[in-house]
Amino acid sequence: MINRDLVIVGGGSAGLASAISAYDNGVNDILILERNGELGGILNQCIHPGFGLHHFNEELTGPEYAHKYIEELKKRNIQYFLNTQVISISNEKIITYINQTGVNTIKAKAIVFAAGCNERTRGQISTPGCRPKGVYTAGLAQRYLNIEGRLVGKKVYILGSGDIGLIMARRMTLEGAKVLGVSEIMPYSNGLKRNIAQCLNDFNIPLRLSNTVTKIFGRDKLEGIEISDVDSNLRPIKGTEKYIECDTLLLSVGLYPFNSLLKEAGCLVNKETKGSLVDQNLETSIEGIFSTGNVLHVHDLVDFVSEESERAGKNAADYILGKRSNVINKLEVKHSLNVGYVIPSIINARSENEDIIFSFRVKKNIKKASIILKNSAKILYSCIKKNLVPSEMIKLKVKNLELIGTDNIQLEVIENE
Amino acid sequence: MSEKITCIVCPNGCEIEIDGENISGYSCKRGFKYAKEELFHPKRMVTSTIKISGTNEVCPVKTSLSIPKEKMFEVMKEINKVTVKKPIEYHQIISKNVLNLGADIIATKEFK
Amino acid sequence: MNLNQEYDVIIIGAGVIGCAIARYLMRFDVNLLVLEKHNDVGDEASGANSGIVHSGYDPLPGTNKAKFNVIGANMMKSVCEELDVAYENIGSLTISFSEEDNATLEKLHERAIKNGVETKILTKEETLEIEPNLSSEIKGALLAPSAGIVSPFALTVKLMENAMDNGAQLMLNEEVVKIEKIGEIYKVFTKKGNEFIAKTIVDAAGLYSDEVLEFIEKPSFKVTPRKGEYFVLDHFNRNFIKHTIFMCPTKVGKGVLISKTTSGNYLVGPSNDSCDITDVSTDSETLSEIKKIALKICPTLPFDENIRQFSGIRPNSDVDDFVIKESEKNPNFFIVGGIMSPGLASSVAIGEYVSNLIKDKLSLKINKKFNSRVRQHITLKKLGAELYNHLIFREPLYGRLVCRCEKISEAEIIDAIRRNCGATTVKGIKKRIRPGFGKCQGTFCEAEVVKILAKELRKDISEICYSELGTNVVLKSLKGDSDDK
Repeated sequence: MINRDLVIVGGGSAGLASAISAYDNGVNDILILERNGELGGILNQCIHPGFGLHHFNEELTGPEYAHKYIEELKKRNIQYFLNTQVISISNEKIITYINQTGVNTIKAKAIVFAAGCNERTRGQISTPGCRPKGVYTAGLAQRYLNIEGRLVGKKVYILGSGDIGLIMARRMTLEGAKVLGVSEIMPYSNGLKRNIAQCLNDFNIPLRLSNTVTKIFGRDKLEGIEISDVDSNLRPIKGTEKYIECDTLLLSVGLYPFNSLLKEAGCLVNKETKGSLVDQNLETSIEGIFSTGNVLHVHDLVDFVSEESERAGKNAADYILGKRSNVINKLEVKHSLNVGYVIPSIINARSENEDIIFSFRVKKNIKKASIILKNSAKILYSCIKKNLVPSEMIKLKVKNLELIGTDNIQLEVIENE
Repeated sequence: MSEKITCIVCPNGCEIEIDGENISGYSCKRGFKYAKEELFHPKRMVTSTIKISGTNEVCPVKTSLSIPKEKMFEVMKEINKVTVKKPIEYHQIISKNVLNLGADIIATKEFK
Repeated sequence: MNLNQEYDVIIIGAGVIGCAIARYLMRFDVNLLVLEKHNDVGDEASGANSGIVHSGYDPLPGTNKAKFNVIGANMMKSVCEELDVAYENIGSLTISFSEEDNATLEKLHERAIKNGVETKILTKEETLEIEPNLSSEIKGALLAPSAGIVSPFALTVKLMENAMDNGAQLMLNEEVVKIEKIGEIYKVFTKKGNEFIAKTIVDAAGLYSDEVLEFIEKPSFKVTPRKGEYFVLDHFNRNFIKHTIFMCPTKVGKGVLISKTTSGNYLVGPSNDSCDITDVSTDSETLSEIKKIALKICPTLPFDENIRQFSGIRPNSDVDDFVIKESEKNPNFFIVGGIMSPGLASSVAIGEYVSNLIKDKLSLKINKKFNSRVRQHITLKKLGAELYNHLIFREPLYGRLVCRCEKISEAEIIDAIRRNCGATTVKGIKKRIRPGFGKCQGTFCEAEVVKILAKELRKDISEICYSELGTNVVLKSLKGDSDDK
């Protein structure tokens, strides 16, 4: 068994940013394990622009964003193995991976887990009907189109207004397919507003809100679908059914962290995100194992993945180099009803006051809200934010948060009139 | 007569209102510029792929500048005619001045 | 291929029954052709069922069902061992919720004795001790230790692979549309326009067994298709429920079951409704009814682990028993129809029995070269890390994992394509070695699988089908000089 200081599982945007940051913070013995034949992860198939506005202050396509990071990685001579699949991680930080050299194990001082996310599938949303060929997740159709150069069909309907679906509506239209429409079960869109504008409106593709696919037809090949309006409980309304003839149904119905390896290692799971439960340093319940990027919680922008992962890399470096002081207080972070989730779930305070970054999502559209952090005795922080929507993650950087003499922290989002 | 548009410059997606010469609702200079352009000469960047000859692979490309929105499908036709050979450099120009629109088709990824 | 050659036997239908008959027939010196209308074996009832090897206490004593079920269940373990098919003897529990159910369990226990099947009545406490996740509302259970689970896909494929290893011939996409008797021999016509002649015909056409029989005589039975819908849960915990759990049977059937599969997933279902013979759709009301019953049996069953729903069609018939006999009017025409539940458990016994009938009829000699075993599949799980390392050293593609949910390597996929009865489609790969069956349902590996299929079969990726012919996964390239291939 080989010993390494830091092993990073995943060479996508999260893994790359963690590696560079850990290196810049003093750790040189780093190994990235990547399952694909190239670095960059999902960015390689996201050939559209829209990346890097926050991080590089210019608009880049996915491959360009990856390129910039890979160049930085190469400058630092950070080692990586491609075509390498991690098959287990133990609570002792022993990693077993498999590649064309064999089944190997490494003992790491620290691990940054950056394995990304999966798309939700038809089975998970229980769409009834037949099971023909022609129903694809949007990301798989994107892979076929942008990596293999092939369309999966010519007459397309899209279920779910997630960004991948919207981006694919434009891509397939430009490549000659006819996109007939998009149904979104919620009364609001789940994608970025600009993607509604430039991917649907530009091509006159209708978006149907409070509407979903209620039946799939075709024994072997998709022949058509039935869509229906839904009521406020998201149940289909009888009598609103409409048949649409199509050869392709794309599902853009959400993503979830591909967190099974850490779950099997024994890291506690955040029930709301399905990722690991982490503290303010993105450290899981097993000391020295950090989690970041879409395997921790699904982000809307790669820029935020990079930012979070730089923190994970630095924190892993501090841990390896023994730069951390002892934990002096342990707090849980709870949230009010209209918050979907908040990260971190716990705070392991190592000093009396710390700058803490909170990432959270609201559960419904809120025009104007007071955001409050409090303990049972007093309000620790508050601010006002406008236009909160579930599809956009909110990041709150709180300076000098008081962490001593306080019990649990509660995050509240209060709707203002 | 006023018109509302969604700004596509960045993920914020501001709602910009255009009433004749009067533009409001933007939150940065780029948004202001976009709104003005969108009213008179809407432009879009086109991204697609180009076949790498002799392989089953494709190379992702983009237009080096935004091109007039109504020319998107014509530009796509040009993109789908061309092939490119390996090695391909990052930001290598594949087609110069496509359809005389002033923009080049450039590779967004390297292939060795 | 010489289409005018005369076969000793033609089997119509490559479901688990047709494949089992083929495999056992190859123990004899016989010239055998199997015709299948689909693009792969086992694509109807054999590809969509509970995968349960029933112990055999349930069928009425003296029926074909009782006879073949009991023999088949006893054979299954060793057959699966020979054919490298996943099988587990996990036992079954039939659960009672009332005094009335308890009385039924008593009756079933008596029936088990008549059928020669070991069963035991358990009290509520005994049941909950071995299955603590069942509802505390239960009143007791009937334990059948000999029941098991098998991969129905693998069993069907491997029976055919073994038959082909021993010289059987399989033709896919050949739908029989007419049969003529010319003197002593039969002439079979297919939709494609091909004609085949044989001394003996076996009608193992499952859902269509009455239709096929009608080509030659008036059938004595009618297939009455019944649809069963299921949930598939992810492999979250292998020990959550250890036995196959049945509801106490009522007049309408065996009811909803909860069972582990050989891959560690859980199946919940089936419903039991009459349906159109081609209708494999699912519907929300039926599924929510199944969910309700399953939660009554096991209140903590985690439906958030649900990864798929599917339905299968049972080839039930109006005689309510397996029809297994030689036609009285047409000698050498064997009818094997209406093989409903427990057909999977009975399949190997039926295969052995029917092949013996044909051997006697045609006075077939023993095939001395018959090899009852298939070449083993090599997986990381079976081999362990150290041995697997040696394998990767010899063949590096064993080190390239394509499917991360089920941990399947590229070399295993290539092997599944190159074997007899090999995979030619995405679904074919999935049925044989599981990529696409896991939690991601193929979203991660499907494109890789398509590329490997194209490379192995020397085709462009646009020629690779998901399942049937015409279900091409992607379109032809629109780009550049279309030098596809």
